[in-house]
Amino acid sequence: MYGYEMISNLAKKSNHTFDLKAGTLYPLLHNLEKNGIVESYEESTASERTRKYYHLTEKGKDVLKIKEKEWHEYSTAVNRVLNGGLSFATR
Amino acid sequence: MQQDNKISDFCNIVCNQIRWKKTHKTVFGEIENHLIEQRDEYINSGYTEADATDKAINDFGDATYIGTELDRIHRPKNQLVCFIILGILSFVGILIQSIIILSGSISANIAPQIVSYILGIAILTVTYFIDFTILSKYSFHFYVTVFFLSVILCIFPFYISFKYYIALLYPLALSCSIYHFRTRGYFGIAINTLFTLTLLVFCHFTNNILGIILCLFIALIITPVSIYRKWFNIKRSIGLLLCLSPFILMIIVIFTIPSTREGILSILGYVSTNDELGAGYIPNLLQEMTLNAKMIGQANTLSSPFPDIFHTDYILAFILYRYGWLAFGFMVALFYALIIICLNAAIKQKSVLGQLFTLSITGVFTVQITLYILSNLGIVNSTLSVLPFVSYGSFANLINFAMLGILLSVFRNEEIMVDRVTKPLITRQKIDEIISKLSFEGMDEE
Repeated sequence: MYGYEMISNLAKKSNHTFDLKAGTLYPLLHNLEKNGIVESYEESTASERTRKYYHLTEKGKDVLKIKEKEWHEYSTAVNRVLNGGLSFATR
Repeated sequence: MQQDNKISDFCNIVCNQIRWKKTHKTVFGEIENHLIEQRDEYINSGYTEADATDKAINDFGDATYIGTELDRIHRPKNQLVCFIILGILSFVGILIQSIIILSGSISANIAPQIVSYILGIAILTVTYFIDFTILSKYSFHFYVTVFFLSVILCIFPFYISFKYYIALLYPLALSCSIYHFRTRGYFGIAINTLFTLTLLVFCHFTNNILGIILCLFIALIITPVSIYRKWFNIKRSIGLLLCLSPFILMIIVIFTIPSTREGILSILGYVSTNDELGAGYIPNLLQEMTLNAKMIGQANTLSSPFPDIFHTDYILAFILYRYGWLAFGFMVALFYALIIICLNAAIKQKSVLGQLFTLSITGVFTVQITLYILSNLGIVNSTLSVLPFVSYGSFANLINFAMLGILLSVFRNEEIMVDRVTKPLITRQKIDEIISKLSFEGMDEE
C-alpha cells in the first residue's frame, strides 16, 4: 500500500473518523521503516511516476499482534467502565 | 504549470528542513506523488485545478513542521567504531612495517607503503561519500569489466600478484550480476551460475586459488542466501538445486582426481612439513614459533633463519615472535571485531543491493583475514592473501580501502536504500486491474 492509498482507505473504512492529515502519516511511516516494522519498495506507475509501497515485515506483524492485544484489553476496560462493570465485548 | 510549481515549492520547503541531503530525492518524490494524486481526486470531484492544488496542499499539513519531523528520523548512521578499528590497524601496520624495514634486515622501502596508505584513505573517502548505487545501474558492465581486466592481467602479467588482487573484486562483480538478473527467475539463476563457473574455470587455469575460494564463497553462500530470501522469486528447493549442484559436482570431481586432490591438500601446512628444506621450511619455522612464543615478550631464537618476508606475508607471525600471544591475540580480536560488526550490519540490511554488497565485501575480508591468520600459524601452507590494512602490498591495500569505503557507505546510507524494480514482471496496476475484473465477474454471477 502507498501513502495516499493508506490515508484514503483509513478515511473510508473509519467512515471519516480518521481523516488524518497526510503530513502526519509520512513521519510515522518513515519512523516505522527505520525501526524495521515496515519495508518499502519503489515501482513505476503508468503515468511514469514512481510510487513507494509499504508492507509489514515479520517484526511488524509481531508488533501488530501485540498492539491488537493491547487495544483489545484497553477497549474492554473502557467498555466495562462505561457499562457499569459489563463488557460489550463479552455480552 | 503554475500549480505544479506550487506543489514543487511545498516539497522543497519540506526537504529544506532535512539536513541529510541524500534523502531529499526520495522524500520529494513521495510527497509530490501524494499531492498530485490528491489534487487529481479533487479535480475529478469538480474542483478547478488551482483550487484542487490548494486544497491538496492544505490537507497535507504544515511543510516546515513535517520537514522538521522527518529531519529527526533521517540521519546518516555513524560508523565511528569501524573507523577507530581501521585507524588502529593502519597505525599498527605502518608501525610494524617500519620496525621490520628500518631494522635493516629487509631490503624494502617504507615510503611506497606510506603513499599507498595516503592514497587508500583518499579512495576510502571518495567511495564512502559517492553514491555506491551507481554499481547497481551498471551491474552487468561491472562484472564484464572485472572479468576482462582479469583476462588482460593474465595475458600481460605486469606483476604476478595482480591476478590475486583483482580476484578480490570477484564477489562484488558476481553480486552485481545477481542483482542484475534477480528479476529473471530460473534464467537469472542459470546465468549467474554460468558466470560463477566461468570465473572458476578461469581461476583454475590461471592457478588462482584465492579466486577459486572467493568464487566458491559466492556460489555456496551468497547465491543460496539470495534464493532463500526469495530475491529471484522462484521455488527455494529447485533454485538451490540449480545453483548448488554444478559446484558440488565440481568439488566431487576435483577430489576424485588424485593429482588435483593432492594439489589442493598441499595447501595445508602439515602435509608439506615433512619436506623440511623445501615447501615445509616456513611452516616448520612457524610451528616452532607458535610453540616457543611467550605470552608477553620475544620468543626464543628460532633454529633456522626466517626468510625476509615478514613484512608482507608473515606480519602477524612477526608480532607473535617479537611481542607474544597477547599482542597477536589483540590484532586477531580487532580483525574479527571488524568482521562481526560488518556481518551484523550486513544481515540487517533492508535492501537487496545493500545486503548483497555488504555480505560480499565482508566475505572477502573474512576470507583474506582467516587465510592470513592460518598461514601465519603454519596451519595453511600458502600466502594467498594480504592482511587488509596491515601487511605490505600497495595495490591490494588500495582495493581493500575502496571496498571498505563501499561497505561503510552502504551502512551509512542504509536508510535511504530502496531497490528499484525497473521491469517488474507484473505491475501493481495490472494486479489491481485483475482484482477489479475478477470482482466484477463475481458480481455478474451473483
